[in-house]
This record gives sequence, structure tokens and C-alpha cells, in this order.
Amino acid sequence: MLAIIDIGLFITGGTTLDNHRTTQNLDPIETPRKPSDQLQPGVTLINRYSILNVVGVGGMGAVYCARDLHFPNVMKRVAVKEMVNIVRDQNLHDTIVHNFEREANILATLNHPSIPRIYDYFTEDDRCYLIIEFIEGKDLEVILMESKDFFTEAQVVNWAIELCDVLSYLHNNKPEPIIFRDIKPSNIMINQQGHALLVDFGIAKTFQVGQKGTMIGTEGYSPPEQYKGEASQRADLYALGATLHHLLTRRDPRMEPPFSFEERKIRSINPNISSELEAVVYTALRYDPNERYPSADLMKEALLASAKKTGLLHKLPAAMKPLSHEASEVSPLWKFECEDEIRGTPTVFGGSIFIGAYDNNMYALDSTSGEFIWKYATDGGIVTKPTAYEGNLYFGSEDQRLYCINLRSGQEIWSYYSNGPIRSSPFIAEGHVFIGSDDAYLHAINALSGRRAWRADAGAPIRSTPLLVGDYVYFGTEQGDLFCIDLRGNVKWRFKAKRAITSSPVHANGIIYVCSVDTLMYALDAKSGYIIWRFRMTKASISTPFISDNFIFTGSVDSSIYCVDLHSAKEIWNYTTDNQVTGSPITYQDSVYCGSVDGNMYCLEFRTGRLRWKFQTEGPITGTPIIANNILYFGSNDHKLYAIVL
Amino acid sequence: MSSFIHKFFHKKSSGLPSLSNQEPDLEKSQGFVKEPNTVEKEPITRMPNNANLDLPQLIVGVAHSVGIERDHNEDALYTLTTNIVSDDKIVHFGLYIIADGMGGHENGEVASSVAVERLASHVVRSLYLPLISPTNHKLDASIQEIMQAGVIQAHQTIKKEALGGGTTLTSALILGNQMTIAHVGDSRAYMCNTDGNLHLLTHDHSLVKRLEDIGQISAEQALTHPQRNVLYRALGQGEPFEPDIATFEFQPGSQLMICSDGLWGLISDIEMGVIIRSASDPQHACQELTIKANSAGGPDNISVIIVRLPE
Repeated sequence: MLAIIDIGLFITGGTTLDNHRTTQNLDPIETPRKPSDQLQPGVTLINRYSILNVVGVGGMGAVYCARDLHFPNVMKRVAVKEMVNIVRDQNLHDTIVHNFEREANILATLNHPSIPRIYDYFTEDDRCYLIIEFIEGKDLEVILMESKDFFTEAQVVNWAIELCDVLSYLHNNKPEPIIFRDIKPSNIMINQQGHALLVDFGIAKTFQVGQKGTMIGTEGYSPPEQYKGEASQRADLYALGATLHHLLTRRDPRMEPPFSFEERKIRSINPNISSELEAVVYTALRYDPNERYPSADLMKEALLASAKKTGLLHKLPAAMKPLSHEASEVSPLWKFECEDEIRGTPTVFGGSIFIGAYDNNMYALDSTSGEFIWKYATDGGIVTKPTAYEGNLYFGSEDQRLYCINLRSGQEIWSYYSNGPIRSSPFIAEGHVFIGSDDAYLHAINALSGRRAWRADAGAPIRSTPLLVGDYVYFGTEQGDLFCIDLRGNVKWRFKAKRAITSSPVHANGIIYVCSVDTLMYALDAKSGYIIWRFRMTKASISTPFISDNFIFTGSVDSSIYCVDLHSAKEIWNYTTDNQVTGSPITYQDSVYCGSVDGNMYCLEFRTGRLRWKFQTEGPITGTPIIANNILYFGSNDHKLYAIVL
Repeated sequence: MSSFIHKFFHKKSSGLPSLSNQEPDLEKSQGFVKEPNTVEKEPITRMPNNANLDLPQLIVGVAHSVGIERDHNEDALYTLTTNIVSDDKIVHFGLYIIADGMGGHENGEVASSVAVERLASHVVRSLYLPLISPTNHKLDASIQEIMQAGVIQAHQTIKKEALGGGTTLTSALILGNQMTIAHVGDSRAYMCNTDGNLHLLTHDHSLVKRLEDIGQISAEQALTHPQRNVLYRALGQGEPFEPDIATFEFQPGSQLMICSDGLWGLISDIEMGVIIRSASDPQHACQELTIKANSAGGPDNISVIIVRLPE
């Protein structure tokens, strides 16, 4: 063994540091510099405001809840907003204090139910303070975080109308209109009566030091023109539109590229929202300010008009059903009925389709007409997906055997006994059949002779289908292991999930992907078993992932079909069916096909996960569909095998 | 996974939980010896004993320049390259970071150096040390989670210690043949594949890139746009905060380049690709790229790291 440590190099601030420094950095010493000190409870400002607690901390200072001592007999609470003036240059420092006082003076004159009153302001040393009416309530960012479900359309429209009212008040302020500049959920308080109030007027902006060189702007709610330093009434309406978009979709624009609202259509994320309200929000969000509503009043009118149309104003039932895309034109080319449930996945080969059923038979049918060709009876149910190889068909059965059957005649060539039911499907490579069994062994069997080359003890039943990549075989076990073994059955590495790995591993770009009953989908380095990433679902998954382009698709017992970015593990979309998804999704052209235990075969848009159509069978669909010659084949627990022309 | 590393260090006295150890006689009794030929025929790639003379290890080049127009440096960079070799295997472990600081006063410099220090120490502590630990620690987190936690720690530290400062951060962690990129801002990571083309692996979190993406400005306009320095995501700035993280295969024969905008803003991707491919080694490529950027005006700090995995 040899470990080479080659380079350890820091270049910071023009200084080059050597290896020695690198080693020291393993245990960084906390810097003695403190964050700006906060006022402690009990401190009294200008002999009047006694600090009770910190409410929030921002980049420029903190917000406190304080008691106003001018009211000794009642507990009058006020909010104290503190802004720290960090500028050392005396002229600039004074300018900032001056600007603060000027703006505070303007704010102190405002009088509107949706604006907290400003009672007082003062400066102490390098800190400026605003004393503001204390609002009992929560801001919308907190409310969003604490809730799981979408807000109702009525709720959001109500708040939107109140916010248009207050914006109209500000924009019509005399002599100068006031532009709020920073509408976003965290600046909107919902009080205990459920009304929206605008808080945190952009006064803190005065304290942001002018920056040279590269600038930073981070606000996902800001309109394009704000980056140029322009702020107008229409900029506030854009930010209101962005806020409404966030409230309706629950997608945080700060986590997305700027100006990308059109790429996250409200109704594709939340189909319960009316197209009327969606149109109002997108008008406010137009890139060109001239295409937005000219004033808050006109936006309010549009909101009212949309509410009238959708009946919200008349308190009619607000819930609207998502459009049903159930296409009646989807009808099967043929269906074939056997005598018990079909839980597994078919295989198409050379104009025939092969499917196992729980009536113990393996069936061969004509793939175009669905006509019966032959069947072969085993002594147990068949859930494994058959594999065609060199003129023969290989599959396992609950009767503990692996069968090799002639593709054409349906005659048995050989059968091989394991010591447990076989639910794993065969993987054939290098002249060998690799298959797992409930007897806890992975079996390697000569494909021609049916004689065992070796078997490897995995310590638990193997229902996962093995995968051979290069010189290594990968498979999961019911104990939660994922094994990588070489072609002689020796373990190269072993990864342990917290629950069973029934899902079968798949491979791309040197990475093995597999799902587990522990609710995670794993990406593991094929060479070492390192976890590259984990993707969390709500419930267990026994679905085998499917890779297409840079996406990986899988299903879960949580009823969802997931589309996840292969490189970043970011969820692209998920589609919720009405019951568990235990089979696997597959993609074909620009669609995703996947069955659900709710009995439906779903066809979804590849990019968005939107429903194209669904086809109802009379029993759960637990297997994976396959596509050959533009025909979709899948079995159902209603005993039938279906063929649908795409 | 843990057994894999364990193997490097304890190959002779392997106490790792393996199939063969659980049932030591399994192979003999269950057919392997009976029919060794069926599988012995399989090609098993093993490095000849003298192959260690020419180990395919990561080769790294680094260059840095303050630039012509700037008088101080706000870039910070970090490289760590190690090779763990045992028996017939070599595992490359490399960590490469570039941060381009920004913001008022000195906080830009502070932000970028804090960012590389925090991320580097986090990765070394959470991933590298367990990797070479003889006690065979088990890693609970994924590589992407470790990178993400490191970047978020850096972000929080900047907010505490360099108020108002911000920084870009583009980093690559190479482990074996997988490369995980964590990225925020407008520094870039490129892959120069065996096909000779330069592929951009990161997406700039910049206003102009976004304007270009939605068709408001052209690529040419983006290069000279007055707001081309405006970022919508940077370390130390804004909440919620999330880095872009993605894993790519790092194939033998390919080269990774990480650079600040002081380089890519001045030299086209095509030119950079030509220089990287024609240079004798990554160090020369880095030097040549830096000289080229400076001769094109050098308006900004220039930092570049190139990592090559030979075939």
C-alpha cells in the first residue's frame, strides 16, 4: 500500500501558504471576531423601550420586541428595528444617518390599516432605531414553511386584494409616491384577524454600503428593471405577482433562476387554481413593465373580475377539480386473459410476447394479434420477467425452479432447483444465468447445460434482479445489502441500506442506482460502493429505476412516480397516482409509462410529468410495462395482458 | 463501501464481512472448484506487477494572477491531490476549489478565503480522514451531502465573519472515477473530454446569463453588458441558499478545468480548449491561459486549476 499526498496549496488574498497551513486548517480555530452584538433583554433604550426579546436578525441588525415604559400600567409592546451603521468614513456615516431620519419622517406620516404605525425613531452611537407598532401574527414566509398544503385560491385572492389596496395607498402618496421595492412573503405579516400587512419598509437599504466591482443581487421576487436601479409602481406589482406565484405554487423563486415564473406554470403545479387568477399573476409578472398592470388599482380590479368569473365572490364552492384527461380513445389493440393474476413483466422477442402468471403458466402469445402460441405449466406462480437467450426462454417460479424452455415449441430444455421461491429475474451474460432466490443464494448457472457454476450466500432472500457490468455482478437482498461480487462469487464491496433492497440495480456512467424499502433511492459508485447521492421519497420503494437522457425515473409505495435529475439528484417532477407504485416507469419518445396499484396505466409528459392519458384495468398493476414496435404491453392483477398501440 | 477502503489497508488479513468469509467453504463446496473453467474463462483484468511504475494518477496545474487592472486579489483557491494505491487498484482523491470574492471593503477577500478554508476542512474531515482511517469509519452521508454541508457551512461563516461580503465558489471532488461539482456564482467548471471539446459543467448564477437564457440579450451583448457582474446567487448572500451539486463521470483521458471569470470572460471556450489540448501538461496550460488573459487586458483576478487523468 502506498499513499501519496501530493499538493496542498492555499492561495488567499495574494498569500501562498504551504502544506503546513493546510494541516492546521483541519481544526479551524473560531475567530475572535464576534457578530454584531445584540441587545440583551432588560436593556432600556432612551429610557423608554425595555427590550424583551429578539424577534429576528438580519444583515443590518436585529428586530426586537420591547415594552414601552411610557405606559406603566399596561403591557404595551412595540417592535424595535435596529440598524447598525458599519461605515467608518465620517461623511458617508452622517449621510446614512441623515437619509434614515428623512425616510423615517415620511413613514411616520403613513396611516393605513395594512401598514404598522411608526411611533418613533432615534440614533444611538452607530445604531439607528425605528419604533414600530407590534403586530401579533406571522409573516407569510413562516406560514409557508409551517404549512404543507396549497393555500386556497380564495385565501390568496383576499390577501392579494388587500396588498393591492396598500400599494395603491403608497403609490398615490403626496407629494412623492412611495415605492415599497421589496414585496416578498417575509415582508408581509398576517395578523391574528387574517389580514395582510406590509412590514419592513426598504429603509434598511440605506445602510447597504455602495459596492465596487462585482455586485450581488439575490432577490428572486425582484423585477428585471430593479437590477438597473429603477424602481416604479410596476416594479412593486411584479414583486407582488412573484409573491402570489410563490403562494400558489409553493415554489420559492429564490431557489430558481430570476424571471423563470413562466417556466413554472401555476396550473401545472397546482391545478386547483383558475386560469383567470393565473392570467392575472402572469400579467403582473411580464418582463416588460409596460405590459404589466399600470397601477395597483387596475390589478385589484383584475383580481376582482377573476374572482367574479370563478364564482369566488359569490362564495360558491371554490374547489375545482383538475381537468380529467382520461382519454376514451385509448383502447387496447388486444387483451389476453389467463386464469390468475399477472403481477410480473412481459418480454417481447421475435414476434412473440412471453408472460408469466399466478396460474403457474408461462404463456407465449403472438405480439401483434395476442393469439395464444403455447403455455408451459410450472408448479408455482410466476412473477419473474422471462429472458430470451440463444433460442431459449429463462424464468424462475415460486416452485423454486429456474426453467429453460425452447422459445418456439415451449418444450423444457432443463430446469434447475434452488431451495426457495424465485422472484428475482434472470440476467444472462457470458454464457451464464445469474438469478437470486428466496434461498438467500445468488446462483450462477451455465445457460446451456443448466449446471451450477457457483452460488454465493447473500444471507437473505434475493428478489432483486442481478445486473452484470464489466466483471462484476450487482444485486440487492431483503436484508438491505447491495452486493458487488466478481465473476467467481467473491465480494468486492457491500453496501448496506437500512431496509430491504427489492428493487433491481441499474447502471450508467460508472454509477449503480437502486431503490430501497428505507424510502431512499441511492446512487453508488460502481467501483467502491460509495454513496454519491441519496434521494428521499415519502415511503418505501421496490421499483427498479429507469434511466433516460439525464433523468432517472422511479416509483414508490407513496403512490408517486418520480423524475429526478441523474447528476444532481434534484426532483424534476412527481406525479401522484391513487395507490402504490411498485412497478417501474419506462420512457418512450416523449412520454413516461407507468402502472399503479390503483389499476391504471399512466402516460405522462416526459418533461413535466403532466398526465397525457390513463387506462383503467380491473386490478392492480404491479409489473413494468414494455414497448416493442410502438405497442405498449403490460399485465394486470385482473388476469389480463394488455396491448395498446401508441 | 467501508469494506472497500478497509480492503486497501488490510488486504492480507481481511476481516471484512464478505460472502466468502461468512461461509469459508462455500466456494469449494458449491461448485466453484468443481467447475472452475466456466468462470475462469472470464477475462479478469489485473494490473501486471510492474505497472506501478506508471500509475495513472491525477496531474494538476494551478495558476493565479491579480491581473493587470486590479491591485489586490479577491480570488482564493485550494487544491489537494492524493492517490491511494494498493494491490491492483488506485483510487484518486482530489479536491479543487476556486472562490472569487466580492463586496465592499475587505470583505470580498475575507469571504473567498473563508469559503475555501471552510469547504476544504469540512471535506477533509468528513470524507478524506474517514477514508484513510485504519479504524474503518462508516460514512453516513453521501458525497453530495458532504459537499453541500461544506458549502452551507462556508455560507454561514461568511455571513457571520464577513458581513456584506460574498463570493462565488466552484469546487470539484474527485473520488475514483466520479467527480462531484458544488457550485455557486459565476466561476466555472469545464470538462475537456477525450473528444477534444470543452463542456461547461456549471451554470452561471448571473443576471446576464439569465437574460441571455430567456432571450432578452444576445451572447455578444452578455459579454459587454454593464450588469455582467451581478450575481443572483452567491455565498454569504441571501436566504434560502442552496448550491448546485452534480456528479459526473471523470474518464481517463479527460481534463477538468475550474476558473474564475477573470479567465473565461476574456478567452473564448474554443481558445481555452485549444490551449488545454495542445499544452504538454496541465501546469503549462494554466500558465498559458493566464498569460493570454492578462495580454487581453487582465481586468480582473485570474485563477485556474486544471486536473488531468491520464489514460
